[in-house]
Amino acid sequence: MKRYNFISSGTMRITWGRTIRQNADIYDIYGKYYIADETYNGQSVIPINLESTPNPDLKPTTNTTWNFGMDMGFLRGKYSFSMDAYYKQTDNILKTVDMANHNAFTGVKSISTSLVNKGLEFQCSARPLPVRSKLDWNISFNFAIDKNIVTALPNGVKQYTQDGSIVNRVGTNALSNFLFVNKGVYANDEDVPVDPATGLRYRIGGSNSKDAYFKAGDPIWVDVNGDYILDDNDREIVGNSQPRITGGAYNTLRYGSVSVSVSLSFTLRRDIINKTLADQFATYYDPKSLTSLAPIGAYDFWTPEHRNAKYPNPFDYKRSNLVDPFRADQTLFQEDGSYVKLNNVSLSYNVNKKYIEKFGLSQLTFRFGINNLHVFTNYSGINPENVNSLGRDVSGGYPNSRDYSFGMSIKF
Amino acid sequence: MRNFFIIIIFPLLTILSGCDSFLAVDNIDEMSGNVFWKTKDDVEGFALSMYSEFRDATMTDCALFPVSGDFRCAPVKDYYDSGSYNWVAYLANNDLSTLLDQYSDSKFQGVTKWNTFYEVISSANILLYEIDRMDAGALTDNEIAGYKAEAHFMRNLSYFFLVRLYGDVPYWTNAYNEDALPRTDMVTVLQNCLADMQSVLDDDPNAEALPWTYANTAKVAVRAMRGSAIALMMHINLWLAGFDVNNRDTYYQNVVNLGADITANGGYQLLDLSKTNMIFSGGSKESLFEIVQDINKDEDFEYNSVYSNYTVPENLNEKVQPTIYYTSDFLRAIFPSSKIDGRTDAWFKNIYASDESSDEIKWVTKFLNEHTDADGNFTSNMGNQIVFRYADVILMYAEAAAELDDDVTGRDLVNQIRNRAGAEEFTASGQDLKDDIYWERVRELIGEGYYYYDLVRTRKIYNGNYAYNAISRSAFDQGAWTWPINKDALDNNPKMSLNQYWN
Repeated sequence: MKRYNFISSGTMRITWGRTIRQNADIYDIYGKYYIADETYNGQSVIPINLESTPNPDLKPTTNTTWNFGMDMGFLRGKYSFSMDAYYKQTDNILKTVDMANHNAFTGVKSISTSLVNKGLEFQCSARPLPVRSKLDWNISFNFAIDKNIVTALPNGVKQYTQDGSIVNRVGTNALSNFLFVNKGVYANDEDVPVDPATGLRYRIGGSNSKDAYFKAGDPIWVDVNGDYILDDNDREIVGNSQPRITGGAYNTLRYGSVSVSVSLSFTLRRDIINKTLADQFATYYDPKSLTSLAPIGAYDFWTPEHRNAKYPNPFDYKRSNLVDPFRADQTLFQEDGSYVKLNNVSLSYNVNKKYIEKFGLSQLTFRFGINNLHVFTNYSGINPENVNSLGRDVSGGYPNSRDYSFGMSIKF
Repeated sequence: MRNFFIIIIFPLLTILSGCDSFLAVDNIDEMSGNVFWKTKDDVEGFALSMYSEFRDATMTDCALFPVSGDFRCAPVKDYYDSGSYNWVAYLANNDLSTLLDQYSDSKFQGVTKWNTFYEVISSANILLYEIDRMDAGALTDNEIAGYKAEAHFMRNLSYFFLVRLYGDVPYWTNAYNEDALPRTDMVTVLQNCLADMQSVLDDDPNAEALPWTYANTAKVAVRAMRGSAIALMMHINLWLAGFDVNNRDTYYQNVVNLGADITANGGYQLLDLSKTNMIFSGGSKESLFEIVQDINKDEDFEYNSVYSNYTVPENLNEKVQPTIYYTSDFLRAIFPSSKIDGRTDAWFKNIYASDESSDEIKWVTKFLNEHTDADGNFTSNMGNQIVFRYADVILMYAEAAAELDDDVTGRDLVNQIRNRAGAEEFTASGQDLKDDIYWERVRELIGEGYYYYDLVRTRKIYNGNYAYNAISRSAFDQGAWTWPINKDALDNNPKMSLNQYWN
């Protein structure tokens, strides 16, 4: 065993656990009756609440987790790492399923949704220098990879859309981006595909207006089902609103009374929708309104003089509300939102006791720190970090502030 | 790291959720289904929800009676020759596409939505299901039979209203239906309704569960009575006679049988014309079914849902005009000035005024029962909305008898209405008598939501001799007589289709 002496400690864990939790309440199961505000013929009325049909078959949500973990230390704790791999299956997830409107109730609570999460978490830390070294160096690093898959949905359906642009589809990740695929801008009217059956151009669905037909300056959206009508049936799964890899690193150096620490974090492989830019263009839908028009001069958009552009014509405001060329739920505004961010750098200095004792002080520390120092990213928006839980840029065009702080602490 | 979070977060969650349930005060106004359905009060409260939902469907969510029944394809015009009242012409010309495009008012848009009628149907189905599962002894057998009969009535009444509006509609009778259904052929729907109502009558031969009337005057015509059920069945039969033509004689015979039963055993009466106000404020001997309005208990109809508010001016201001008037052509044709008819004075003001006259303004005062509340909100009719009344039943009976060539019975019946109006008796027979009976319905039931539906079921709607604003035969066959269905119906229902004519 001598040759394994460099290992100072080691653990392996295998765990299995199941939690059971009843998320449905008694009203979901038996229905809720309430005394209505309005009487009938002066008598009180007790209707049933029509939000969801009573469902006596609601079982609790079960959460089954397998976890394999390993912790190891090397060279008397100089290096250590731990790793966890998990597989988590969640069954009987409570979800409201909308119903046809002739059923009076608007929905029914269902437990037919199942989800699987699997992932890896990794963490390591090191103090590479000898214990007696005057320089103390500490580094640590961690990351997590998470992948989820929808395995079942209510009524045996294959997919559910949420707010149009997010989809749950069996066999894919739970919150996929469900978008119109943009292939540029029609340079000329002749570039718009024409339905050979009717001789009419490709158009926006749901309107009989002449303005609904695409023309030069409109975005090219892929007609997935080939019916020459653009509607919700033409959306495709083209991204994942959830980050797949997240992590961070931390580094401290101390030499005598001076110490420097740096921390950074990262999120990799996430698709962001640059809603802020979409909204900026959308201010031109109603140029007469009192809200100000955002400057868009820096972008490559279509004009009659400049026909091969990336962005559609923003000035066709008579048709804009119908065509909605700058809708956020299209691939034009979807970008890679990966970033590495230098969160914080700080420096501190402990003044030597012998200089301060005569002033009656026992400790004097100066600190200087910078927060939000820099973000390394390919994302074109202002800040890939400032997005909502579905990866929609909600920064409104404002960056995170960079803070400088200077501090002093004194002990008497 | 994960475990660490769980250690931190878990107690936090318990503390927070603990706090939550501590702060939440249980609402004693809410009961879950496992503690409900125990007492008669529970059943009574729930039964009233059917009636209340029916009131919402007709008198709150939209202007069902005036818009779909009285003014559609009717000889009406707006007094104000201004753009904001173009809807009167759109309705009169059955141009519902333009109407619904240009007016977002719920009084029109609401008519495209069938949800609230289905709430009544759902409640009726739930009542029928749950009442059988209650502990024995909570209600007497007769009470159970009574509530069930009311539920059957409210369900079939709703289906009848749905069919008249939209034609084919989804039909279901199970409690808590979750399945998305296609539309069922309307003849099938109404035949099911009829069979359903027939079993209510057959199971209750002595009229104990569903009595002819109630000793408690507050319940008379407000809660379903045997007379309400019979009136509904007569209406359904007549509608079927129009749309299931091969069996029309069976349906007419049904109407005659039902008419004979209700006139012989019902104890209902035609009130004197001088008691017009009593007839239309509700609860009279003439009334068979009505929707409650109780201004003093905040149970008021929408101003726009009340027919009368279109045909008399706001605040009864003599100087302003009401929204709508019937054309002189029409009024003079149905009430010729040479013939005496008490209704011309009792139910109208300035009936013979010309359309152009600005001194004499035409009002329909039939339902006048005005009220102004403390906040100055005016309504011209604070009474209940009559759905069925005895005069309507007599005229249906007369119509069916005449269709079966029993002119004597038909004439006797229609002359009861003539006599009450103080008008000359009819003496005609054959087709003339049938026409007399039809026009008597137009006169007697004006403003009660029947005008359009009578034209449709008798197919007079495409005959210019009867219809002032006719729908062409071909348009009728394509479904022009139906009302457009809101496209919400397509949501979550791949089997649903809308009315082709309007889409």
